[in-house]
Amino acid sequence: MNDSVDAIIVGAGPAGLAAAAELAKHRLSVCLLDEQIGPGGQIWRNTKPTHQWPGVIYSPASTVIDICAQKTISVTWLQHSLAGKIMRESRARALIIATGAMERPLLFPGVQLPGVMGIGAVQSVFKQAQLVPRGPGVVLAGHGPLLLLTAIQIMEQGASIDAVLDLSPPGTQQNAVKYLPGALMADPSLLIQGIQLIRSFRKMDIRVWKNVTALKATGDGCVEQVQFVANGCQQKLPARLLAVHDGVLPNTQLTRLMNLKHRWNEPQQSFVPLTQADGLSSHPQVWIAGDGVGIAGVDLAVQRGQLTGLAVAQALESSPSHKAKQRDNKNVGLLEHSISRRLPARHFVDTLYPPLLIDHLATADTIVCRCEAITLATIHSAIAQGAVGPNRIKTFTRCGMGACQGRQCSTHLTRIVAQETGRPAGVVGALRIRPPLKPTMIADYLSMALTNSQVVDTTV
Amino acid sequence: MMPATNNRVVDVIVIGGGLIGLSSALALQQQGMRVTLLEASILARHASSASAGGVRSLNRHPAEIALARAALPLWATLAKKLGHPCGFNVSGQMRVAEDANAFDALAARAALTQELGYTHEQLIAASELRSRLPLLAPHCHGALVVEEDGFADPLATVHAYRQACITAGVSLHEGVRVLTIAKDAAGLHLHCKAVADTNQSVTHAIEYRCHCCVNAAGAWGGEISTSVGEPVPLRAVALQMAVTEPLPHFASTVVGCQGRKLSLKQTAAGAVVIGGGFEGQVHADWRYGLRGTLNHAFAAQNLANAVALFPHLQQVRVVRQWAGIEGMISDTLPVLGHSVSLPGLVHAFGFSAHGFALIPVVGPLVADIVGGRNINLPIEAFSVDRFKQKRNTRAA
Repeated sequence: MNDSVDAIIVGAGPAGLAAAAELAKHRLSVCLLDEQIGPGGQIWRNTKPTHQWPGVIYSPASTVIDICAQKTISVTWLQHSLAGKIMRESRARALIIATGAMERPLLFPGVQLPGVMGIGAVQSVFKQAQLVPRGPGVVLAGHGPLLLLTAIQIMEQGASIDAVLDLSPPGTQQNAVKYLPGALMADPSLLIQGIQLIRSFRKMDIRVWKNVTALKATGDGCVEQVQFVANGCQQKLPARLLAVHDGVLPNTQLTRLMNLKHRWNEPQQSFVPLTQADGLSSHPQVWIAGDGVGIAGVDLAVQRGQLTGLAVAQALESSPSHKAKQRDNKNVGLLEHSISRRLPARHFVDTLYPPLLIDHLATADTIVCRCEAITLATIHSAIAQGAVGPNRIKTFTRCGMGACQGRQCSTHLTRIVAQETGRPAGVVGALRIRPPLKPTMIADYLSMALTNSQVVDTTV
Repeated sequence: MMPATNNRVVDVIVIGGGLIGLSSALALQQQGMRVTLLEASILARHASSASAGGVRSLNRHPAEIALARAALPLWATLAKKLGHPCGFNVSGQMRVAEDANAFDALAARAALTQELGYTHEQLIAASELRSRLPLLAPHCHGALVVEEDGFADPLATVHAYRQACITAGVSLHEGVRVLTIAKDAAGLHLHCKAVADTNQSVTHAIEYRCHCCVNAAGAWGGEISTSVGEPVPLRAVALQMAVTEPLPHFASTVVGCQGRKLSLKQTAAGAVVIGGGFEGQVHADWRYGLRGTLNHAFAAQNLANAVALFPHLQQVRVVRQWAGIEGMISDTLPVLGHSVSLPGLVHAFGFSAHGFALIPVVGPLVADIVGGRNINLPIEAFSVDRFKQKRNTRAA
């Protein structure tokens, strides 16, 4: 079944929704795809749609398999409908990628043990299903706003947290202070939110260990104990759940699958897609909006979504009225101005919560690729044998060939090679991504299989 | 700006850093030649990395059977010879018949190979088939089997050959694309363009000199042969593959099917690798020359073929799909042997999606051809001349 719209938007989080609204206002046809069962992305989880925009087909529980951008955009996706799952192929004149952010995976001994998870996962479970961890043995480790926010949210719902291990290296706060005045000027609301967060966290009176190093999760088959060094002493805490956090980074799985150009963002230690101010990527029909362009929070994600929606509308509209053009240009100007005014506040946040160095916690036998159980030592050995980037490491060691499709290990591979060889991360490059975008059941492909009459076997 | 010249004249330049090129370079270097290998993008970037890894003498074109049979014992000792594991597994290969007509076709095939003097292809009936593959769909009638066939790990094999070449002293250069080959009094003269870094697109001219040259340029081998005046009917194709998450072992042999495009194998780790020759789309790529994208309807059909034989695969997840670039010759046979128009050039390309099995035998063969030694295997059918002859025959 083939269908064709003006624009396809991947991701119904704040940015995707804002872009869809903007395109709907311009009376363009939109297909809004999202893999969750409800809209809102990570931050507005478990919300119910209250509004229907004419011209916008919202398809939840839908997974993108592959996107080909040649003369038109062609999206192969799996629709979860009442009739079951159907593989679809949809075409559009424009594509907006709004797939947001993901947690930066943390490397330390024992990370692969059951019971160790990212703080984002804890928050997702809480938001989606109102479940919080109960009882003793809940330990948090890391740094960043999401860690503080999640701790507050689950404590308010009755969870008890035995300890928070602050992994921020010493001197971080002093380092960040110089960006505070600039941040205050750029985006005071961001700082107010931050202060409120810290105040609420302190009120909870959770035991906090500062300047923690040498984090280890140990246990037989699952996490039973967390070991670490603080104040120069070795510490041990019993643990059933260890939730870790080292910030978030843009989700570039789809943008890399599509071979769009990226650049290395040094302060955020991650690849970001190369975009213009309105979100236009290195492909003339593909735009990117939201945290996927660079981590900037929900307010800017909404604004970026609006701006990109406007830019796409301007690109697709055949003959807008003079009045409409003027109005759009004005809005574009306002949004660009607002975004560029507020964005510098991120310097402060990035410096206050800098991505941890790989060897801050990782040792030689720390597992970097969890799917194939590849250790840091194996990766160093591959580099020593001449593997000059993530894809070569993959061919030497199978790192990145597992079910997570490189999500856990890809950024680390780039950083490890860059550090080891002294070559800039942008030159080292990223792991090549192949379809399907997410692992997909064979049964779900079958709806697209050709009928017998269309199959011609030409084997000898 | 004057092109950079590598003034040293090497004995042999191998064009193409896939497995055919690496195998040839290694064999030549081990024969005492000074070998330089020139690869346009990255070693093994295309067909060799995209390969299904089948080591198959089953159902070969009659002209290739001798070569494929000669390769099998070489696979058995390859890891030891190269000093690195290649993942070679003597799993056997099978071609399954789903109905009586297909079984008759297999029987006819078995008779053909016997007439040619071979006994490696054996028919098995439904009962034995079911005992060897209990999860195979019950409607299958039987199969044609070669017990000594198997499969290997393409990436491990690439790694092994690469390390062996380095150890042996082969000079490997990536990012160097050969543009023309000319002959002068001093030997062969290659004009090339090179990139400083495969992430950059700025090129500079560079030249190399050698006594002999091997065209192992795979899907680009036709450009090389055309440039010296012997075009061949080669088409660059993007062959689609899929690999699943690991699952409990159920396929002890590599499974193909009479009447369906399917090749299925299960790796040591439990992942199922599914191919069969479905073609995707070929696109130009600034970094790698060409790249392939998937035709999803064909990908779905490939998976449907796998499910037809192994229904339990429906509940298994595909983790990765790809479409690797390969060079297909119109008669599906490679171009292997001396160039007719340019003395000193030896062709070894166009293995048409079934070259992987032949890697260990082709390298030494190329070395023998270059060295002017006796060739013990029949390669006349692979002559670059055969297309010209066909054209002349048609014109007559």
